Amino acid sequence: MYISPGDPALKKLNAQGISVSEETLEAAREEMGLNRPFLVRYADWLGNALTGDLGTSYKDGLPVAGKLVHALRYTLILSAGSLAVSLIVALPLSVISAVKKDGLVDNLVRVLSFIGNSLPNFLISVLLMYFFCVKTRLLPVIAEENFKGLIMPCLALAIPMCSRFIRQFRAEILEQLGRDYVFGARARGVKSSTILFKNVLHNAMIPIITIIALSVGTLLGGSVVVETIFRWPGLGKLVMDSITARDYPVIQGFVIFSSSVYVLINLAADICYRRLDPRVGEM
Amino acid sequence: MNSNPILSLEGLCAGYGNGDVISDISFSLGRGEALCVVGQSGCGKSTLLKSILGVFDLPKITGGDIVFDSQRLSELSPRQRARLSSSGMGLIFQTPGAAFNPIRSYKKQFIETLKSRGTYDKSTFLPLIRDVFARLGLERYERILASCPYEMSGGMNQRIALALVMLMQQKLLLADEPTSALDAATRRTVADELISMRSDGLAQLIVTHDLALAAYIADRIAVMHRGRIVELAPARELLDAPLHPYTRALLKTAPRLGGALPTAAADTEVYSGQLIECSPGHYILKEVQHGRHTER
Repeated sequence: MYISPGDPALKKLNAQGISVSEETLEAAREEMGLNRPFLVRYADWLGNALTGDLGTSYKDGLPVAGKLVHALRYTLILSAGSLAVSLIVALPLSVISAVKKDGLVDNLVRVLSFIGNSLPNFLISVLLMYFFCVKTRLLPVIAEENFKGLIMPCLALAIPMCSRFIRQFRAEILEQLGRDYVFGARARGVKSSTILFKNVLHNAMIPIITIIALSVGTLLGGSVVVETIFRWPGLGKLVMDSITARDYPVIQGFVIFSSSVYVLINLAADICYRRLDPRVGEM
Repeated sequence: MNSNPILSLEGLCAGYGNGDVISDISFSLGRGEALCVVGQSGCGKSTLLKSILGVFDLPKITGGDIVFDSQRLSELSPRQRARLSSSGMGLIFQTPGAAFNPIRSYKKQFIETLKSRGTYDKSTFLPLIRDVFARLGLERYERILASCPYEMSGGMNQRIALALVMLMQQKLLLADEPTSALDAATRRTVADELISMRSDGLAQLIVTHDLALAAYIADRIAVMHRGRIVELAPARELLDAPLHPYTRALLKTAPRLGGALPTAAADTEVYSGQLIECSPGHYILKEVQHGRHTER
């Protein structure tokens, strides 16, 4: 960010509508601490960050931590919604698809998930807007902060995620269905439902949790494209606005936050692995 | 071939879609009898077991029939057939423990097996397990039940698989190389237990490379080559006086301590025709055309 073109002081003054002269610009730089060497500023910031102080935004002077927490609330709602929709659709479809491999449902699900997986977020967003806002006028173009406003950004995130889940879950379940223990259980006359739900799905959960954990990490890091298109005030939009405004403290705070989220999600996934597969704890 | 068979194969042919892997297999197996099927790798032994069990999608039976417990399997629907097989036949895999979910406790897997068969009774479950485990020399049954298959050695896993077969009170045991992954002492224990299980009337069809095991536990031995049974006779008779050239070659290949490495048995024959009874209970496939083998 530091070496990218653009002066945070100039952008701040422009945003405030102040006429910019050399003196006002210099005064703003001094006030924002931008005249000090980069490494000194970084060391200062790091020292404060270690005490929990992420500084204040260049743009509006508000505390970075407060801005992140405010945006996180919206990102959490959007992430939880899109993840729930994806799992509710992907889990049963991938199970049916794997169990009825090469059947009509499987072929249909595979084609649809291939299409869903191939479409980028921005294209899905535009298509959703065209259908729900222009054609049917069911939903507002700019997302309101309520359930109605959540529908389109949620779907825009859920469609490709759900398609990716179906393909990956199906592959994991198929791999488990081909294992010797499944043949052994069938040979012993164990009910198909018991084999599927208590054995196959349980064993397939470890790679499935990995896939979900990676997706949750990405979602909580903010969905820049979708949040920007629908003007959803989450972390993705906050960081995008901060990059445009060269608001270094917010960007740095976001980097720390998203790294911590990845670490925590991975920790939670590791704890789940251990509960699901006792072999993990012995490695 | 047997007056009161639990299992009869009548000209059974089966394969995986690219021609038959086994063809024209006929024999019968009496209650409490042990028949060992021996032969080289790839001769169709495991295909034979899977065809009889019939709960797998492949191999497909392409000809002949199987009669199990007086029921002709070709007359049953796939669902009925699977039910009959799982209620009357037990399978022991070559890899110890492979038949069990490696990360699910034995207790859960035993219970779900018995529940699926409608024979689970909570009050008798643990006493029954204790008795069966004791017969197999498995001590501390509660600790074993709480364990997962991945925690157990190969020998333990194989004996636990046998315990479940005993617990299910099945009529026919199909075993695919049941001792191949075991050390000598455990192999002997498992072999002795297989013999003792026959006293309950359990018929055994055991596929093995291990001629010593076949000699030890089998009542009769069938020799397979290129998907056909080339000789079938009482164990002692077949081992002492083999009639078929392939059987003689196979017996010569059995390694002995201190002996030279034998030459491999011939692998170029194409067989046709039917098994012919040369002496009472001793069958041999006579029509052999040497050197006319074409890859299938």
